Amino acid sequence: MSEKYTKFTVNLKGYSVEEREAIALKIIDKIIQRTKSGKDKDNKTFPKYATGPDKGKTPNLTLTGDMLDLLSVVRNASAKVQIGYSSETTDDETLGKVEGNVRGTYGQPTPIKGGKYARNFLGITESDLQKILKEFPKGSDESQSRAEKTILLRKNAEKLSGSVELEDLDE
Amino acid sequence: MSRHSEDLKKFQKDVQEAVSILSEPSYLSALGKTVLERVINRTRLGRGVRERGGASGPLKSLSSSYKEQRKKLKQKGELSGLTTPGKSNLTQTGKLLDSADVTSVKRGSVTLGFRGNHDPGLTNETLAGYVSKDRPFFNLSQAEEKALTREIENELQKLLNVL
Repeated sequence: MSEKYTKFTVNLKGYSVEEREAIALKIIDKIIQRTKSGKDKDNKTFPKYATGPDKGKTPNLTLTGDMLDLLSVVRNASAKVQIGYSSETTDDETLGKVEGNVRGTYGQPTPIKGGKYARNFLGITESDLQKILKEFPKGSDESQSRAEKTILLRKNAEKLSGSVELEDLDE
Repeated sequence: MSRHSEDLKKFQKDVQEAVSILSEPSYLSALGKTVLERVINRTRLGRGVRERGGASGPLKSLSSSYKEQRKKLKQKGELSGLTTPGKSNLTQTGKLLDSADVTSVKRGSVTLGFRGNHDPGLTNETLAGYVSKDRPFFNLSQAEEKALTREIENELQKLLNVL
């Protein structure tokens, strides 16, 4: 699997590391919401299913939800963020699904019908990016404050998720 | 103290208040049920998870002889509509996965498990433990953990908009 199909980069020059992290998290939220509504990275509706029980329906890339839920900030450095799936921490099956959707290969060595059925969800339009960046006016205290709050909220949510335990069935 | 620091300090206080509200048993119980639904749906799709935070993967296939047994059950109308004879998804009658529930909840903690008896003398919990040996499923995958975090974050945000 090629890494170029499983991540994308957003240039965020002039933003602090916290701002870049917070902006990236907002981009991820946007991608998940947009994909679940059946739209690709250019806000175009995904090609409908060509065969099978869902023939004619618009996909939303959500069966278990795993693929979209694993979308994350892969790298945050040098005035850029990389969003997608790290080959170091993501399982091969998910990486394969991502590439299959992005390229329209679905397990085949090359895109089916020239990529006609590709569902490229990895990216964001400039317009949608600008809407997010409006919340982070570059160089402002407001932006840095918003970023720190976003990260704080995520950290508290992660901590609280530990409140949910599943019984150890081995005992 | 700068205005920025004061603002962040107040926000931290508000977040702690929101966390305290979400730590109440009533909220955690509802959250637990949402998590359970995802775990059970994922299992019914034929996927298991070996350990918390791990990847999900296909459950171990059924043996040929067991598939034949399940074909006969289906012919008699005794195989759940949520499975097929050849599908490995810990579903025969559906009773085991249907028995998954919140087994305890208190402030700051909710536990998910299995309730009741599957058959006389065999609890669902024991059966779940037995099937888990070859087909571990009752763990949150990395993706499910992230989804849980996102769900909690959304709830915290809603509370903060109110506080």
